[in-house]
Amino acid sequence: MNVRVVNLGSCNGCELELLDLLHLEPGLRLCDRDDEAEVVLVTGVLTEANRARAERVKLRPGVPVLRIGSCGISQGLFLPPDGALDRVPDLGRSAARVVVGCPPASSEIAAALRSLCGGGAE
Amino acid sequence: MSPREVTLRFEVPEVYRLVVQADGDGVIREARVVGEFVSRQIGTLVKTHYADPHKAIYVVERLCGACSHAHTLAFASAVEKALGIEVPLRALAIRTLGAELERIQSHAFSLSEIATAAGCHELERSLWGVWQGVTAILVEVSESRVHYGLNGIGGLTRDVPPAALRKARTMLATLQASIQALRGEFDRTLGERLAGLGVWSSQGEELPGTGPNQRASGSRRDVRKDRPYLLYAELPFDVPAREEGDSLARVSVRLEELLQSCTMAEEILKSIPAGAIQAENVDAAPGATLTAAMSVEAPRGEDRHTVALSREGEIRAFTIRVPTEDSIVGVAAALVGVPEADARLVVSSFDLCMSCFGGT
Repeated sequence: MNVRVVNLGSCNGCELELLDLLHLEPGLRLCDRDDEAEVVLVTGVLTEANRARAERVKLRPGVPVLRIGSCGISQGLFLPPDGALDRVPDLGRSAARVVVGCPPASSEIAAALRSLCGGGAE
Repeated sequence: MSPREVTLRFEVPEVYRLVVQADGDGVIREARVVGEFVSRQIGTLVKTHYADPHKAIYVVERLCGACSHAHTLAFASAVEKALGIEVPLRALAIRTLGAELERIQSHAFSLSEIATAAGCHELERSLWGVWQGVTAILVEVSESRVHYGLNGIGGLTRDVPPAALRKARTMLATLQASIQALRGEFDRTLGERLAGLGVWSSQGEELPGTGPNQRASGSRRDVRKDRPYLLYAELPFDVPAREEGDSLARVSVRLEELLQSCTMAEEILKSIPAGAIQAENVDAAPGATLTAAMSVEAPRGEDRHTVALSREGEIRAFTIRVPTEDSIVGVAAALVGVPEADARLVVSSFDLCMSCFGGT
């Protein structure tokens, strides 16, 4: 299965867990092309530099999106108490599937992927 | 001859790009890394929204997933220095332990990236096994896999139970044996391919910054030796260095450091002193300077945090200088003369970290 990771402004914590995930689930393969993606994982808070790149991501209809980690879900610590920043991207916002954690462990991401993709991450 | 863009690292185009100009034979004539895409301007965020250092440290930890302990250590130490806070010895010992375990975790990741770039999947799996092994030790020590959350202002956020430290020591012995075996495997599998590839030459000058990349090009600088902090003045260790400046030298230095950090962690685990883990008073001491800078030797080199605080202990100014600022110069120089097909391998050997780059 081709996995497209869209890192919009991550500390690489989620990416380390995603690398570990590739070892837990050998059937997964990273890809950088939107048209080849079979599942999309979104990490990080949306940085100014990546705002335009996030808009350029064009997914095929029906490709499932999973938002990973506090930043990808709700800006995590990057949403200060006064709520002044808004750095949650539109990408996959409608997709309800999230994996909470900072970062979530690879095993938790694996479980979410299995559930999202109908029981098979092969 | 138009520049071509090559996408690297995790196959994620949002992180950074390498722009190269190559000649007709595909040999790189000019290269530059374009990054700062994922910079979250944490230095600014701290000043504007997290002026309380006890809160700011959690955001500072998220500068980097690979060296979060180094960042919180530099930050907490700078704040402690500025306020005149004395950190108890037990906390210093556990902070040192965290720093060396983090170096093992970071180097294992970096070396596995090189093996991936070279297409050596078996070697990559073995190296990732080291990452998983040290991550399991870190879970014992900190109850966390990536952001350990150990450092607080004035000491540690929590103590480590003696049983966890004993277990960590046993696990470390197993890990050390597997790293030892990997050293030979790396040489056999990739030694020839990496030798002479992507030389960062000092050309007789002092290279900027510190870190494994500089020490692979003849530098002997290491903040742990040059300006000792934590327990580094008392802890016996060598600074592995090479002269060649090629990708093999960068790999060799990291492999040596992996073993060295295992020995240092083992040494610390033998004799962690009992006592408090947190300073009794974390307010500004009489006569405190309120301004301080602290450098630590992060896995990738010198990480320097500078703070200025008010007498009430609020952050007024904060800057971060990260090792990538130096290595990014090295990678551009080293890529000249390298075949385009080997660019990813050379870039991997520099272990650039972009999450903290442009952080202020």
